[in-house]
Amino acid sequence: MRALLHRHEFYLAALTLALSAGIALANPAFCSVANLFDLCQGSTVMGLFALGVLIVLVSGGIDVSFAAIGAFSMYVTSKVLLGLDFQGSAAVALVLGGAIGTLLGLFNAFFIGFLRLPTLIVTLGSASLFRGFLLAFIGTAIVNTLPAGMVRFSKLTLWEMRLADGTIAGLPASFLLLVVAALLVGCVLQGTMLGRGIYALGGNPVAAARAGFNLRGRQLFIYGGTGLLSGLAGVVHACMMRNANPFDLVGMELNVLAAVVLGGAGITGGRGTVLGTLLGVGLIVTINNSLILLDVPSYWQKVVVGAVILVSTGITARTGWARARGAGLC
Amino acid sequence: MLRRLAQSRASGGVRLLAVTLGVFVLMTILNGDRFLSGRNLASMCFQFPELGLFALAIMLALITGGIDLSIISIANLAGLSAGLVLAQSTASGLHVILAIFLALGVSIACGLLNGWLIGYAGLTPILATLGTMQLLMGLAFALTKGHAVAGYPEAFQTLGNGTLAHVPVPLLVFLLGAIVLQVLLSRTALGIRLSLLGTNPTAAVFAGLHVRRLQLATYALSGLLAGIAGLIVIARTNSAKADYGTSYLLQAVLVAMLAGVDPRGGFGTVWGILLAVLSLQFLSSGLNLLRFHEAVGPYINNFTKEFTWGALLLLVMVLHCAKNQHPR
Amino acid sequence: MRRTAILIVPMLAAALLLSCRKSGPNVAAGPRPYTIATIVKLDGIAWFERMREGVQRFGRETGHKCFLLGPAQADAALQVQIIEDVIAQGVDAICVVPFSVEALEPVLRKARSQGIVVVSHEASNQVNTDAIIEPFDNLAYGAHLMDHLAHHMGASGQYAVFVGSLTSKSHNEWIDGAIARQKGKYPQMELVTERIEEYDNQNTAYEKTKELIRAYPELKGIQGSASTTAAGAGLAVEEKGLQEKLAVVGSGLVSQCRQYLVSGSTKLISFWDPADAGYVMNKIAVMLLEGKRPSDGLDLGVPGYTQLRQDTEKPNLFYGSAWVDVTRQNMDAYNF
Repeated sequence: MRALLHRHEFYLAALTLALSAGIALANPAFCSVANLFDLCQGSTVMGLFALGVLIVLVSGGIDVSFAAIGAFSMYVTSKVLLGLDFQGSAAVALVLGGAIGTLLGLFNAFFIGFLRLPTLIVTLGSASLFRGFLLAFIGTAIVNTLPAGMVRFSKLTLWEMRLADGTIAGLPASFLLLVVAALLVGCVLQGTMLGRGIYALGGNPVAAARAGFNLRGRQLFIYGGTGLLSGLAGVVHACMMRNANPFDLVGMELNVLAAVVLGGAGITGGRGTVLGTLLGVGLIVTINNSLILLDVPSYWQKVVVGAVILVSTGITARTGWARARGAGLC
Repeated sequence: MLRRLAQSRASGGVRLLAVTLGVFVLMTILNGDRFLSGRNLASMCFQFPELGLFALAIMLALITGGIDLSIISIANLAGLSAGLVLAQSTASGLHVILAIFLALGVSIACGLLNGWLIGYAGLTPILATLGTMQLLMGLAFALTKGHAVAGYPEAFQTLGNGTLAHVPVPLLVFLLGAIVLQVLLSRTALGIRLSLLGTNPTAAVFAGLHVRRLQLATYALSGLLAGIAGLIVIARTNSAKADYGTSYLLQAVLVAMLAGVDPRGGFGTVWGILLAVLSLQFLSSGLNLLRFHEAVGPYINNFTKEFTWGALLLLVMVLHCAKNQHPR
Repeated sequence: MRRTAILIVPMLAAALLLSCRKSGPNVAAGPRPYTIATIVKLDGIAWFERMREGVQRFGRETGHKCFLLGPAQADAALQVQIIEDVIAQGVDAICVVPFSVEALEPVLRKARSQGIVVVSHEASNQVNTDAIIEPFDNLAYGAHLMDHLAHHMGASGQYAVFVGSLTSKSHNEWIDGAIARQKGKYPQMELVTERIEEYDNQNTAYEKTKELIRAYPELKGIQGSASTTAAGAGLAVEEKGLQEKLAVVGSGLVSQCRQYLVSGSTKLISFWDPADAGYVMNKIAVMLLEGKRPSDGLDLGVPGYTQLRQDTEKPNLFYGSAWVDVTRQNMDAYNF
């Protein structure tokens, strides 16, 4: 089974490389450090969301409320810090956003873990609830001037250089957050009892309970953790955009889900890796951010994206493990 | 076990009926004669059939344990292909019939594509239909460069705006679709096979069902329902556009969940969909009317509606759960 | 089962009783305050919040009951539903900023057939309406933005154009006007690719701009249409340090673009005041309700609408001259 999983990621990586090679042939501008940095930056927010979704999918659930949680955390964090006239570091914003996200995630966990309601229904309901609450009772106006710390963070780069043509290429510091989060999620999922329990829960919940895993505690961790990652993603998004728009983020749910499933996570649970998820995100971001390089007219862009999703999932479905997929929503 | 399941589900239906009536009564109390006015009732009857048809399409895929995210794109592509025929300045009665058949044909073809991708190419339903959602909407964009195709013969517009013996035509179409689907699901072998496939796909294979053919049939049918909705949409708005009604997708899933359709497959009823779509319509129109209320009006906006929907969904599920709580 | 039935029956009875109780005759005599609904594309965003201010100001000044509604998502289907509900409610006039002009025709026809006055905005091709009030001629507006872009580009070099969505009529008309002006007046300039769609999303505008810079290193200008482009493209240009090389102009609000005007990445934004537009729509609606027809040269007493120009072919179409250009120099005069 593990060998098969490895194969899936191998095919996905090969596919991404082949696609990149194709784009590079069509337009050499694709092969530049600057473009690589842009792709990394473009993957950060989506990657953070995707890691959260991965945990949920591995546990056999599904989450469609993460974008609403991200928007909620981002907006409330910005408003609170502005209200306090906070001048300090962006770390406080990240902690606050993460905390708000965790709370909203625990709200989901309450319905899922304690009332045992189906995850899709709960998160669909809570997504409307969070977004509705945010826009109806907290505010709709875009915060155009973020707290100073967040603006500083948005300009902070890990590495920066001035290219021959006078443009600046920089790898934003927030990318580091994705790397750390990916390592952490990877360690927890693969290296701890907690993580193995999540796989077990997704593989067969009844057996997992019999084996003595504490299911409720695990659900609290899963949805709280997803909320935390979503909250962070929201704050990072605000920093990158240098504004907090409460209408943002919601609408990207399906793309994130597609990236994670493309990465090899089964919606029936018990399967999925961090590496696969990151590859899936990378593939989707590469496609979306190369259409102008390929000079695809706007009218055809959706056709191309749709076709690439179908072909790449078709190819990876052929790598053998698709036959092993079970029943369920997907 | 099975009987208890059936019982709990039947009582789930009664509870949904109570919720629907509860919303109706609440809105009547809050809005008074405005809500019960003939104009408002008629307006609601014109509004919900589109969403109802989309919800039926979603339910069909959910019953087999899949999902169809491409319904809105199918509806718009089917609507556009009909629109391109209808917008000819010489459009005659023959054109109208041709356009309707073209739209239905296109929607079935799109559905078959979904079914093929899922049944034969081995894609998971969520990815397959996510891909076709983009692909088909993209085709609609490429066909029109994003412009609307507008201006149809009066005869065709009655499909969306006309009445037959004082009953709105879209409502009739929806009811017809609902009845046919109800008969199909509960009275035919196909219906039983679909729900078996959703309940336990492994058992379905061992029972000798042609899983792939069933999937083709499921998605073709859900495509067809979406196509019918697409025709109503273009008749009602007298125009077709590549990105119309994208907000219907999540609403349709919401309706299906409220209706008690099992997201893991195997169960869903047409009655449930009818009640759920009605309760959402009562809520939606009722809240819109409430904005005229002196006291609460300023606090109501469309986001309050979104908030209420989410709360309603969770509430119904908690009620459902509280009634059926049994030790595991 | 039976218990639920016991619940349902009294609820229904209560509903019927309540509905009968409240249906008294609605006496209306003499000049009365009109109820006017303004229906916009999307609720809550800065643009239409500003419009709400104008609508409410008109209500306060005149005593009419004026309010503004819009869907929670940018979708024509939701806008149709809201208008259906407003008609059912029985308003005197509907002012509308359509998300999709064509999709609203039947429901607006229904409104008019019930005696409701319809005034539209940003909808020069609307058929079922009593009056259309446009802030300006769309082609001229796009051309004037192109003049500014050409000025910053030295009238030569590569440029790209954005629209909010390919289905947006006004955005595409602005771009049509701009491209026509460039072809006629600035032959040294070159459009590098077809109009780019950014879904009224600042993040998309930002990503697409970075990709444009990558694909066309010689790019010297970007013209935006949605209010999100001026900010998103401005951010990308600022990050790349291209303020001196690549000019961004477009529609936008000062609140959204201030920091990019300051940093010099966005050179100029242009807009018309949504509050004035809302005010003017409602004023025209009341005129029509009182049986007066707007005519060429009409002065509505609002800056930009002091001398309306009537369209030569479509007598119910009126243009103002309400665009405002904002650069770093004069941006502090606007607080929205």
